[in-house]
Amino acid sequence: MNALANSVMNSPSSAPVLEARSLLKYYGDQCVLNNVNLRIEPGSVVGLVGRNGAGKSTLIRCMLGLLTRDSGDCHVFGDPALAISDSNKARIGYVPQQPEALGWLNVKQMLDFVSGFYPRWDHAFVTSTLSRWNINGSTLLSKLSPGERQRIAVLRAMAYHPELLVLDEPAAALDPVARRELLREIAIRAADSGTTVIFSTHIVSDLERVASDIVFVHEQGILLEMPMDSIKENTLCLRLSPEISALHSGKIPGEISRRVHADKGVSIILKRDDGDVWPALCSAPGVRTETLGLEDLFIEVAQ
Amino acid sequence: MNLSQAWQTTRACIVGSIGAVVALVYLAALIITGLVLAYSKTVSASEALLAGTGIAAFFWWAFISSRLLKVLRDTDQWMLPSPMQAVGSAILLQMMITIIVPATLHALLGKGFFIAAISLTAIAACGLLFMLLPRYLGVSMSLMPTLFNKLLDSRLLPATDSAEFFVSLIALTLILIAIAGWRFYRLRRYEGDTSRWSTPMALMPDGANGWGVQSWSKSESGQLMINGISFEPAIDASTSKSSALAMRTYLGTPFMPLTKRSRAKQTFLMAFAYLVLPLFMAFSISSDGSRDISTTAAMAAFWVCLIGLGIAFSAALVRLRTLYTRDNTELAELALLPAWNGNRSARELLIRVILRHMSYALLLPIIIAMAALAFVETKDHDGFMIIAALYGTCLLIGAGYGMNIISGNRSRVVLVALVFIAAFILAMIQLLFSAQSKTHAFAVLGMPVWFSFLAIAFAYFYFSLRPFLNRAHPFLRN
Repeated sequence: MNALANSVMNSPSSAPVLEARSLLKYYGDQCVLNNVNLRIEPGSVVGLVGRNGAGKSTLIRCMLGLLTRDSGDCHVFGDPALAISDSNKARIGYVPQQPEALGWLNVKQMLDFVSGFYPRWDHAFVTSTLSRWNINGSTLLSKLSPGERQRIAVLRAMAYHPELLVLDEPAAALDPVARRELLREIAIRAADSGTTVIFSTHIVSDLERVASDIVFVHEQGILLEMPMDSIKENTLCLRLSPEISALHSGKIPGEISRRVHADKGVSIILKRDDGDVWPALCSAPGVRTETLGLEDLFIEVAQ
Repeated sequence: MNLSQAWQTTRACIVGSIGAVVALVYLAALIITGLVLAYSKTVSASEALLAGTGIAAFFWWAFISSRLLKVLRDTDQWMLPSPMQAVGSAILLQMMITIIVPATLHALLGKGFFIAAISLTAIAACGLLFMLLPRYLGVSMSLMPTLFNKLLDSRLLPATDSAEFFVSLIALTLILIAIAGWRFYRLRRYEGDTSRWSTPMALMPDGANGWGVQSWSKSESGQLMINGISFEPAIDASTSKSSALAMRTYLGTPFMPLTKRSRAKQTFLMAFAYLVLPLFMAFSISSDGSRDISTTAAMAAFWVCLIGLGIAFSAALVRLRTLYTRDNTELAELALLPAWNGNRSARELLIRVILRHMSYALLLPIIIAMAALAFVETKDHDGFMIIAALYGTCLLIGAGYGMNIISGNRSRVVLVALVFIAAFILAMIQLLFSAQSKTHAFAVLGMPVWFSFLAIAFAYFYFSLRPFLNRAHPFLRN
């Protein structure tokens, strides 16, 4: 499934590309991120998934130093996120959720202007991509459709072959063809150049195509963080009948979420580390176990 | 009339802080103009009251009441129930505030209630038409008072104390109301292009803080347009080599570097905006024996400064506020661009770009104002000193306000507006005094006061700048 991404996974001991430690962020009185710890290893393709308002974009912005945090630390290539050196900035490509920057320039003016800041700017890649997408260079950015605008933003972020590519909902405005092309480009970059990619999305199938690791952001924190390939192996859904669930109201080892149904039956999502065994409850009478796909897992966790 | 509903709807029309500040400054200055005129030998208190409240009514109906159209258009667009009752109540409330109350005061001064009420209604309709007519026609509404005076002077209209005049005034008022009502009805469902030169100002696209003033420059979005006229950015290979040019390009309008041709076009348009009112005043006053050329020139200089500051500051400050408060603006790119050689130099560059823009934007109006004052000054240089002090005070206050925006502080708009208004009132009184009495007005009246103003302005700038200097980096979203 994501062999391309897995093939470039580095050893866990290498220095992280992006790191958040005990990150706390409030908007006014509302806590958005509470004690978040996240470490993005070089070469990984990390999919951030979570419901609307879960804090995915805030997490990305805090980790890139675009927002202040209330406490905790964030580092990018070893630099504090709020003081990234120019040399490290040149290694970062970022696409915001709805790119609106520089709308007063036309496509060519913007790309020419931005290219001056990046010594590794790939003019051939830009020209061929623009031509393939059939986007007129003399069109004002503000006149492009949201999808075209997003594609140009992705092109701008990839044109200088950044070592870290951060995409905030990159596929939100893209049609299926463009989305597939973007995912292919991400996979190729990760495989060929070892580019580290972090992208947030609601589209679970996108994650399944390219992500090497998955991070569930839920209720101000990270609920689940694991390699994509081990999701099925290391997560489990328990369906407890009403009678059994009455006997197990306490938290079960490895439990990450619990949902009570109308009939008082309970669904519990468990996770374990590689090599660990599932709790004995999993084989108890009246308990049904189910291995969930990513989408079902997301729904079960996020509901 | 449901008073609470009327007030809620009226309050919905009074939006935006910077736009409101600009309007307040204009409004206060105009009312004071009326009051100062009251001290002239030829104008009575009731006439001054009518002049002051008339000008205020014009602005109210142009910039506040006309937004009722937007309320109606928005409810249509969102398919909400029609708020006609609320709009009707709001119109009644606004008529009470802008027409009935001043007309009653006029009656208390021993003059007629009805003549004042009808005059103010006509002025209010002109204010509405200023926003509802195509722009090139709307602007002509501001010429109506002079046209009216000229018609009176040339005896084409009956004398103001005659019954015929009263009848003519009622007829004129009814015609103006009918045109305004027709335009209101037509524009409610208008679906054409709203970015053309001919688009009525009431339909100009605006953001959450939409005011006509703001929409004129599209300063919220940083677009390169003024009144539908577009400008070419000066972008070439060298743009990214210069940090200052790159910063200005990212900041957008009005900081954006323009091609020479666009800069010339912009200068011409600005000069036109600065000059049209003073030239019009000079024209209208030239045949009025009650005021001499010195008074006219002093007032012209004052107005040029006021308009210049309004245009220069509102566009820049609105743009900065948008940049620092909305998602997906250029701020993220500025923060991640490998161009600034560290946070400290980026911060210094940003401050320099903002200050330079504000100073340069004020140059043209100051030059025009100084040129106008050349007609006043003969022996001393009071006018120049007054304008220089006003320029310094306003520049520091405007720049301080800008620093507040980019450092994420809550800006005390009302305090800033009060200092602006006070400085302008002082400048206007001094300029008039200087022009009329030919005494050393600056030294006699103003030097200590101006030093106080400058000290306050400097303190405000300093205390606004400090938190920005303490920010981790200069491109943090608020």
